[in-house]
Amino acid sequence: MDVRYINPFLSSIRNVFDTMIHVPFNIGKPRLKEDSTPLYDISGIIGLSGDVTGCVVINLSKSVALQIASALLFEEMTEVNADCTDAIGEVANMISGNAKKDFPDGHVSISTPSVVIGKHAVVYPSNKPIISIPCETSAGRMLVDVCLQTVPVPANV
Amino acid sequence: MGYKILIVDDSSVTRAVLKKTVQMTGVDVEEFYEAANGQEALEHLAVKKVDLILADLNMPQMNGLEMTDKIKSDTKTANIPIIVVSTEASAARIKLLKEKGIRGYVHKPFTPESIRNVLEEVLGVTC
Repeated sequence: MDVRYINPFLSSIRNVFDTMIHVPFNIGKPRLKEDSTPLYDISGIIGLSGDVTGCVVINLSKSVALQIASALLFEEMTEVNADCTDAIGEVANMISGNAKKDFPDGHVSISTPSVVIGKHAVVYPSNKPIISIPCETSAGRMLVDVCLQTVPVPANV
Repeated sequence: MGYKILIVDDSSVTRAVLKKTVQMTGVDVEEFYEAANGQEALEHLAVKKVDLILADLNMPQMNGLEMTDKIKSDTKTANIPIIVVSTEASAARIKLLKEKGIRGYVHKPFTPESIRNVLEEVLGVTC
């Protein structure tokens, strides 16, 4: 996958954490995800369409989800309820929306987020690499998994 | 009398965070109303007087652009200032929003300062 579509996610994750979450974090080196099975029980999923298609998945444990949702809402959350689920969807939305503004030229739309909790699978575009960006907080690790493909421009006839 | 502010976003968490952030700015708010999409916002506007709308763009059922078109085409609501709070930040998108009559734009994720600045600009107040 073109690095020009990965670097925007690195700056976007930083921007979202620095601006609205305010939880200390470290972003690790992006790597190829060999197994598409989610590592953690909670996934916030955003679909992309237009000149770039695919999906962005933030995958995290309950403890990280609660830490992030609590920080976003300015209140301590102790269970993965509707507000926590909504918060994870919104974080996925902000990370994806901010990243796409820094994509190379092209029109891209993002879907509204969906959040899955419990043992689950995520359907990625087939035969496309999934790049996983680890983000560590004191509560554990959140993965931002990016699987995108550019739509070829039709040749002029 | 404070402002009556309608917050339109499909995320209840974002609505809650926006409410808290607006309160932090010190703007005099009489009442907050909430809507989860453009259609709900129009239903509010049919029965409630609103002084300001803070709205997302990317929402199910009726998105923020369609909502804006309907609000601006109705003489009863056309003068209500709309501030967009969204991740959609391309220059082309912001230009389109201004052409549609949007009064202010805040990029999401937002800071209290960015909300304060746009409220001061649009409402003509000092927070």
